[in-house]
Amino acid sequence: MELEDVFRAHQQAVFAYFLRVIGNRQDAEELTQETFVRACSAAIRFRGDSSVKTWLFGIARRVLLEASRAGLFDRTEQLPDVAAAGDRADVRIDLERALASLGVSDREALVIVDVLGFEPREAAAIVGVSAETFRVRLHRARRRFREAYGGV
Amino acid sequence: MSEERPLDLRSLANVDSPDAVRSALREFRRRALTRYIWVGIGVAALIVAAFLYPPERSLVARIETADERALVGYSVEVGAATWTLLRVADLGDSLGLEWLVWPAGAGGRLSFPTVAFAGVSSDGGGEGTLVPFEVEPPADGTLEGTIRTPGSGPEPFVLDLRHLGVPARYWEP
Repeated sequence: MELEDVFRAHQQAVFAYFLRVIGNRQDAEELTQETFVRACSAAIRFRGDSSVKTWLFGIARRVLLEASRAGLFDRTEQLPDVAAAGDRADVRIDLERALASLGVSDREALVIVDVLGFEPREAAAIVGVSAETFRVRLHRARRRFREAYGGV
Repeated sequence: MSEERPLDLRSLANVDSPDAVRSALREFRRRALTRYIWVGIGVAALIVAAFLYPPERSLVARIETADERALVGYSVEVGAATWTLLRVADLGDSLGLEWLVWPAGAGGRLSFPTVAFAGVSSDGGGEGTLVPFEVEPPADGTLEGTIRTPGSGPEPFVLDLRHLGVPARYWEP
C-alpha cells in the first residue's frame, strides 16, 4: 500500500479531529496538510510500535499544540456557523454547539474517543498522559458535555 | 467513575474532508527540494570559502614542507642559549629559517637572547623551542642579524648562507 493511500485512508479522521477541536474549517485544512507533510518526513522512522492511525494522531496533536502556542485558538475558537450547516439535522448542530462550548482539553478528549473511536488507552498515548489521567479527563469532559448539551 | 458515553458523537466524524494528502505531498516535495538547495548552497559556500581562504599554515609547517629546503645544522652560542639553524627553505618570495633554541645551561628558567633579521625578530620561548623566521632573500647570500642579550646592547652578526651549504638558487632571482 502506497504511503499516499495510507494517508488518504486517515485523511477524514485527521481533518475531523482538527475541525472539531479548533472549530474553524480553514485552519483545520491547514493543520491537516501540515500533519501529512510531517508524516512524510517521519514515515521513515515509523517502526510500527503503534497503529498507523495512532502514530498519525500523535503527529496531529503536536501540530495542534504548536498551533495553540502560536495563538491559533485565540482567533479560531468559535461556535459552529449554524447558517452554514445547511440541511444537517438539528440534533447534530446541537451536538456541535455543545462540543464547541467546551474547553480545548475537554473537546480534544471527547473528539479522540467519542467522535473518532480511539480506545482511551490509545488516546492517552496520543495526548501524552497516563491512561488514568486521561480517564479522569474524559470523564469530566463527558460530564461537562452532557451539561452543555442539556443547555443548548 | 462512569465510562458511559453521554451521547453518540460518532456522527461528528462525518465531515466533508478536503484533499489534504495531495497538497501535503506537494508541499513535502517543495520543502525537501528547498532544503536540498540550501544544503547544496551551504556545501558550495564551504568549498568556495576553503578555496578562497585556505587555513593559515604555520611558518614552521611551511618551512618543513617546502619543496626546496636545505638541512644546515649550524650552531651559535648566544648568551645562555644555543641557536642552531636547522633548515633554510625557499618559500618563493622569501626565505624561511628554522632555528632550534636550546638552553646552554641545564634546567631552570633562562632569559633567552633575541635574534633579529631585517626587522623580524623572535624570542626563544623555552627549552628546545623551534623559532622560525621569514626574511627577504639576500642579494649575495649573506644575512645580517643582531643578537640582543639581556643586559647588553645589540651585537651584529652575519650569516653567510653560501658557506652553510644552502644552494644559491634559494636567494637568486
